[in-house]
Order: sequence, then C-alpha cells, then structure tokens
Amino acid sequence: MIRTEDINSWENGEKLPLFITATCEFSRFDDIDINAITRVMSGKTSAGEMVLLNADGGGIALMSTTRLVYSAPNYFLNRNIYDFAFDLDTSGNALRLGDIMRLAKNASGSGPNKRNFSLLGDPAVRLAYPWHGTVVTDSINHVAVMNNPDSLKALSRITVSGHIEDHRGSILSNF
Amino acid sequence: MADAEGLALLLKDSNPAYNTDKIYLDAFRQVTSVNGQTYPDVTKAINNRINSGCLIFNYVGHGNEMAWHMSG
Repeated sequence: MIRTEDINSWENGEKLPLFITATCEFSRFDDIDINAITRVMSGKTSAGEMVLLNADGGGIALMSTTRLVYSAPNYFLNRNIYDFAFDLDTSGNALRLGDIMRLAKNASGSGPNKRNFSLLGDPAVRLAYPWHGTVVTDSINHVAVMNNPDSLKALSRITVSGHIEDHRGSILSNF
Repeated sequence: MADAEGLALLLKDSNPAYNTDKIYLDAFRQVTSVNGQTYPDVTKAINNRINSGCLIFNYVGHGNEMAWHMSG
C-alpha cells in the first residue's frame, strides 16, 4: 500500500506533518542487518526513519512504533495523543511534541505496549497549528443560520455576516 | 476500522475547527494480480494527501519495517 519507494517519493517540502503510526515496527530504528557470510553487521534504515530522512519532504516527527504492538492499547494511546496534541499549556501555547508524548504515555496505564512507541524527532518542537482562528457564519441575508435561511438565488445580492473564533470556540475580537 | 473512526470522531468533537480526511481501504477498488491484492488508488490518495500537506497524518493498520499494508 505504502512502501519505502512512496515515502522516498514524497515532495511535501515545508508542509511536514506529524506522523502517528500505530503499526508494528514501522520505525524500528535500532535494527541491523547481519551479512550471512561475513557476519558483518550494518545498520538498517526503517521506513519510519525514511519519513524523517527524506530531504524533499516526509514528516516533521513521528510518534511511531519501534517494536511489535497491539491494536487495543494502541487505540487508547492514540486517543490520549490526540487529547494532548490539541491541548494548551497555562500560557496558552500548544504543547511541545515531547510533552505530548510524555503526557499521553503517562495517561495510558502501566501496560508494556506503550513502551514500544517512540517520538522520533525534536521533542521541543511545536506543530504548526493554525493560529488565525475559524470564520463562523452567523447570518445570511440577516437571517440567523440556525433558523434555516432560505436557498440563495444565482446573481442575487447576499449579505453574509459572521465572526472569528479561536479553536476553543471563544470569539476573537482583535481582527 | 472502528479505531480509525473513533479517532476521527474524537477529533471532530473536541476540535471541530480542524478538517479530518479519512482514507479507508474498503472505500477503494481492490486489484488482484500475481503480487496479491493491492489498492493502487489508496497509495495515490495517501501520496497526494502527504504532498498537499496536513498537520497530523495518522495510520492505523498493519505494517512492518518496510511498509504499511493490509495483510498482517
């Protein structure tokens, strides 16, 4: 489905996402190849590492599996990552990747599955969250949207009004 | 799939401002060849998604050190 050729072909430049991959061993960064004859050991680059190492794109970081994992505890950890990934610290900043990983793991019980997840990337990085808020439509032709405004005709003059909210739903007035 | 759906719903409920885009294998055509069953359109969809940019890319499914795939 997605192979290393695909990963190396990605050219997403500066639009680097955080990869969360709840799949076995995708980022087993410490694996080696042993030559069957010479017994010489050499490092083996996992697909997860290729996501990081792709010079033309890939990801800013990975919260990824470095060993065998199971889907039920993965799901639990994944939910916790999402909870903290969109959380804010006391001064209103998004959490750093390292903090998200630490808090999500600490909230995910004592099972060993979570130890097979690692953050590959800079733990001090914050993701590029959209900071400019969301446009919310309040009324169309002076009829509030909750009152199901009538359909719009082509080429007619329409007044749409709204406001801008931050991602928590509070109104931003400094626009 | 229930897990992927659960995560997408969680995000939609807690952070409705973000767009979620879901790519499910079963929504795409399966192609059978000598190499087994593949989903070429899924590969394309994922590659397009990455190349056009996203904040978080979350893969739920089987995989190994070399790939993500559907047989585990």
